[in-house]
Amino acid sequence: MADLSAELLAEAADTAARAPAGRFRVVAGRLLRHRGAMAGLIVVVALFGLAFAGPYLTHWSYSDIDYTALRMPPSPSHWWGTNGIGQDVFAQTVRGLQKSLLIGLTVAASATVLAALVGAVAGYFGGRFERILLFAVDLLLIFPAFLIISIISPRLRGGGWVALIGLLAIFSWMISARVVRTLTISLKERQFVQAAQFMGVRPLTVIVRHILPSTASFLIIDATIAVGGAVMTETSLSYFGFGVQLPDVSLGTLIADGTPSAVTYPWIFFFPAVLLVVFVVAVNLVGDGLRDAIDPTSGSNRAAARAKPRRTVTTPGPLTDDAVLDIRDLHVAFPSADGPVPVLRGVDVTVRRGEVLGIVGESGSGKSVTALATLGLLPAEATVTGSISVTGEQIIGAGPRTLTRLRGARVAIVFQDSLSAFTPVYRIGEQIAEAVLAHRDVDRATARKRAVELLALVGIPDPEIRAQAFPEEFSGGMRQRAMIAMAIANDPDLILADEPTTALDVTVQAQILDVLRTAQRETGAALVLISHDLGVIARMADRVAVMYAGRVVESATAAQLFARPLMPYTLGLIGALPTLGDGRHRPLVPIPGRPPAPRDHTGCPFADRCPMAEAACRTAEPELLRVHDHTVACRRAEEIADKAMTPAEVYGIGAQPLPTGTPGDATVLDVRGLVKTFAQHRGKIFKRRTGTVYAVDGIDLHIRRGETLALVGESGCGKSTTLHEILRLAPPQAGTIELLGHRLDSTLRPADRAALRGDVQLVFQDPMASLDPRLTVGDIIAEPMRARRMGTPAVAARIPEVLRLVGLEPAHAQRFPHEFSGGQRQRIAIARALSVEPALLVLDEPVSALDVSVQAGILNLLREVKARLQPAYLFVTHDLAVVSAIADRVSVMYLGRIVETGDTGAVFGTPRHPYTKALLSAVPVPDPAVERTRERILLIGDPPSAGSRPTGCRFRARCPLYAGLSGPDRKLCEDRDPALTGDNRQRTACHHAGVSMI
Amino acid sequence: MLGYLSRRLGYIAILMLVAAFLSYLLAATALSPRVYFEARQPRPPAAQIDAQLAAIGLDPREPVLVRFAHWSEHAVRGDLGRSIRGGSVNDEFGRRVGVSLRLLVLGTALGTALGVLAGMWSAVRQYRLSDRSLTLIAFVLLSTPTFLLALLLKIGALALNQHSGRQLISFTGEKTPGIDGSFGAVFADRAVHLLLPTLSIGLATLASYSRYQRSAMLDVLGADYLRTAEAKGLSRRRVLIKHGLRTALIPMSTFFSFGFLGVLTGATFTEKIFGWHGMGEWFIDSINNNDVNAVVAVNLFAAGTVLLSGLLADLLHAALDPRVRRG
Repeated sequence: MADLSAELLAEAADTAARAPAGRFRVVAGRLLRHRGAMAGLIVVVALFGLAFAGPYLTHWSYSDIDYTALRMPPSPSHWWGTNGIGQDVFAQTVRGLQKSLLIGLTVAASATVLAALVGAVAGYFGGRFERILLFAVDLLLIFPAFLIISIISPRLRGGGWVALIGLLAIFSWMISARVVRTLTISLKERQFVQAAQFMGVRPLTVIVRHILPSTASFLIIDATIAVGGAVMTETSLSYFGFGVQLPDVSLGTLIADGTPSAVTYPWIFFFPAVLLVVFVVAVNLVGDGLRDAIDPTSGSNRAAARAKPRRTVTTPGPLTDDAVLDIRDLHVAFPSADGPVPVLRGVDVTVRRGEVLGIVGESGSGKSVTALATLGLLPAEATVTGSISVTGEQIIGAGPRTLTRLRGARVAIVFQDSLSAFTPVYRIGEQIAEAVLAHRDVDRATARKRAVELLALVGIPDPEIRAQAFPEEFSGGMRQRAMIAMAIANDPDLILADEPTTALDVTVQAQILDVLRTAQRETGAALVLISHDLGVIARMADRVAVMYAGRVVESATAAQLFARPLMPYTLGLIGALPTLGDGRHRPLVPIPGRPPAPRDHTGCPFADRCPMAEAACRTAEPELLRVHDHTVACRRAEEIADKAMTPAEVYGIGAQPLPTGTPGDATVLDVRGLVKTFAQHRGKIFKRRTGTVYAVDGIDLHIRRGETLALVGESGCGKSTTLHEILRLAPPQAGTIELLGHRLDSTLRPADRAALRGDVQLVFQDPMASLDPRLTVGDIIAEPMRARRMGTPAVAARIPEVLRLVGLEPAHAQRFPHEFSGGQRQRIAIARALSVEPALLVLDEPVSALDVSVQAGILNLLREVKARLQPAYLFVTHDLAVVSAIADRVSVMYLGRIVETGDTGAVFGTPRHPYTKALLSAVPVPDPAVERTRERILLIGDPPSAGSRPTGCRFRARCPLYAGLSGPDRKLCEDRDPALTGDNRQRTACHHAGVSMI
Repeated sequence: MLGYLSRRLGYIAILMLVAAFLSYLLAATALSPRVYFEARQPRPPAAQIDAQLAAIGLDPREPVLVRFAHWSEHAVRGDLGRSIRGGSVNDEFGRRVGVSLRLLVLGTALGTALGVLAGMWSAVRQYRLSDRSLTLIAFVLLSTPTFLLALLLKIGALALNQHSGRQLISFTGEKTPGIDGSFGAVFADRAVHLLLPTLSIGLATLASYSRYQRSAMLDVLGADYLRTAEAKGLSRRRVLIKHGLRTALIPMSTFFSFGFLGVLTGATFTEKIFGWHGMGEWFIDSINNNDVNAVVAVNLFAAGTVLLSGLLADLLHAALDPRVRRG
């Protein structure tokens, strides 16, 4: 009982957390196709019919006694026979069923409502109420409901079954409430809830509008399962005489009645028993089906299980000389409910010994699938045709023995997300040693020693000690090094690296790319580097293949590809990329539209987004042709080559610079000496304080009307904390915040604070997470206006205005967020922020989650909006190229401090702080000629956490300048905390800012 | 780790105290021990009943809190008081606790182990026929209240015995009364008696664990680290067991205390139905006899075992997950 619901609850909570918009029709459709759920539903309906129509079918009432028929077997006069005192079993069972169902339904409904309310309130507000709830659940777990109700039952006899319902409901909501509380706590972290809070929406409105609807899918499943659970508890209690009391009957009392003579007079026992089990099974089937229907991933799994895997080798042509990887005409399709989805549509790739091939493309272009196919790691349901030969051995259709022999030994891979790529329960050294043991006939100790050597090779300090660490004890950069160590453990001929630096900070990215180079040199392996970042590709690759919609659309040597791209898509990618040098005036090239959904294409898949597309492009997919040493799939490549067209020419972007507007004099935000500390805790269940984190440690910020200030720094430097401190609109721990002339301190009146809420708006990084999937775009945009109590007509008039402002259609207000692409969603988030005409727009990494081609459009939009409406922007980002494209001024943050600040041109043109210099030199530039000749300042180590607060300069530990200083100069860095010095154009916090590093 | 354990034990002690208090309060107010004496023939005079009640610490003239104070005074010294018949609750406790623990431990261990295996097998063969049949069986088992399952098993055995004309499966009590003979015969007799009660507890546990483990394993099957392990060149089997099952076991420890709760409730029904003289049977009989002290004793037993299983779950979690050990 408790057992069953706990199990299903855990699963359901999991599902509910993953579920996107619970679109009613989609769910209903899936439910209708779910055979188990439909069968369950039919049975449930039939049993309800029986329970409530049954009494009218027979002329016997459940209490009637037929003295002529004791223990009579089923007959026309008594359909299901009679019991020991001559009562009609059919009438009795129907009556018992009715009672059990009524009790089950009422208990489930009231318990679910109670659980939702208490759980949501406890989770949202926390505090004492939450602690009481948790303690109550713990207590209930020691006293199973059955025990308590049994004890109380003697007192209940007068109250009858209504009192029983009350008791059952009281004891069955707590565990669900705990689940709702957990869901609420995680929802509170979700950006769309935080967005509502920052907009000034009141707490109860947030709970009703955002939290409860998001837990609805869980509650529906929970309530369904609870019906079964309640019926089971009720019958158990009644069986032992603690529940429904005679002469009233329930399925439990009937089963008790039939037990003594179950073998001799089975009808008395089995009719109620079977009905009970059938009903609960049916209810649980419905619950299970609901969960499957609400979980978006379940449908594809089922389709996948039914599909027959197909592996076909075609054209195993002669191997190119010295090729370690030769992929020919590779097609991959995944089955789905709507038929096979082609993901790769004829990929040809050749990699020679020792060569570095870069594969570049946007999300969904098929880069990663190509890598997985090379390792034979595609899921069984994928249809794979073509040929993949690794050092001469065919991968497609190879048996498990061949594959395990090749994997790790001839071809190895470095995955992107290194935390989830290591098994959490084994030590790093063990996992590397395992790779050695899989292919070499050595003992454990030797393998461990080899693992330590490998860790040393990839630059991990104290490798013997570090080999004993678990994956989560490593930083992202260290794990990626360990991943590379694992990949080169058996001297492979080919290393695949799938977005190996995507989640890392630029300074760490530079280190990892160096390690990859070293690893490749040491093993002499060929390297296939997959990335969406053209800068990374330019730095590393000898040859580049550009992928789009499951095909390679252009390939050439890196030098040729970047100097003279020939496919309009490549041109777009290069033109869309902001670079450090070009400042705020060059318009970026946005590629219109979005990458096509994977399907078969009749014409060129890029035609819909291509400014040069002709009628012929739409009728036949272009062949890969050789044009000037490029292989390119474009009918007009020849023409582009002959005219030497630039991205701006191809995309028809005028050469005239964008108006950027001039900052006004009025101060919008003035922050001085802002401090924010956190208590540091250890321990998962019982927390204990171990120290203080100085997340923000005395920073100044100043933004004028119409000005963009960029706050840059690596992860953990305190930029997000700074934003939150400003957005809270509450007095800071130390220092002052002045917004539009109002100082945020304890004297600020609530009315003024409420008014200020509307003057500051926020745009988050991830547009999917920051928009409530259950609201229409119109409702989303209206939220900050309603929080400011704008009238309904004014709100309705404003929505189409702001939608047009951000380049969307007024008609889009009726749709839901999931119908839009990532870029469009970010436009919706910007429209929401602009709807109340804020004086300050806070942008938290607004383009980091977007593909390059889409990012350009958003940056252009932000620049246009600023020129027209003159808001101030506080723009937080880790991407220095984006900063140079958008910001008037920049502040560089390190460990809670600003180390350098000033006009973007000045700071980026003549950086004075060694950290700024290192950051700038770590940014990859999409130009191989520049990349190969640049002198680079590599920072050692990882971005530190703010747990320690060293004396003196806090950059010292990683400072390349400090390392080369003489004794007295070093002493200065160690003893004195450098202050920001300089003029308004550029201030630097470094004692030795003038000293050259290289 | 040690610090964590000691804090955990402290929390358990607090919960035990609150549990003792609440169960006493509940039993003392909900049950009416007077009824037990009034039902005697001939009915004793009221004053005599009061005296008898006072003798077992249930003097109705005293407030409940005072009675609790007396009870706890004895309880700290390890004396759980007298039952309504006047016997020592401690002695009865001692006679019954072993009987229950045998059922509980065996049912939990078998159900958990087999459930984990079934769940893993089911996950690896997701949506195949074997998974579907296992799923259906688990659903039917989970939808059958334990008392009904026990009854069905008993009726089945009864029918089988009648049909074959021999006592193939004995199911009443924990042994055949008066059995004598070699150690082997006694052992076999006990084992046969254990069969049905253990099945009725274990099957429900098995079914629920197979579902937990299946979904935990399915989550893990999609994990990146399994792909990494496979990319290293490990065999599929090794990947599934060493990396998959090992990690998918971690969440099971959290369900362990939950699962025990179900076993405990189930054992109450099972003992009563199969006539085992264990704690569960005692509980139901005591409620019917309005025996306050005995009910409180069983409640303490239940609370104690649930808390112990929670502690065991914590230790299991720490043993399985290095992240918890260091946390």
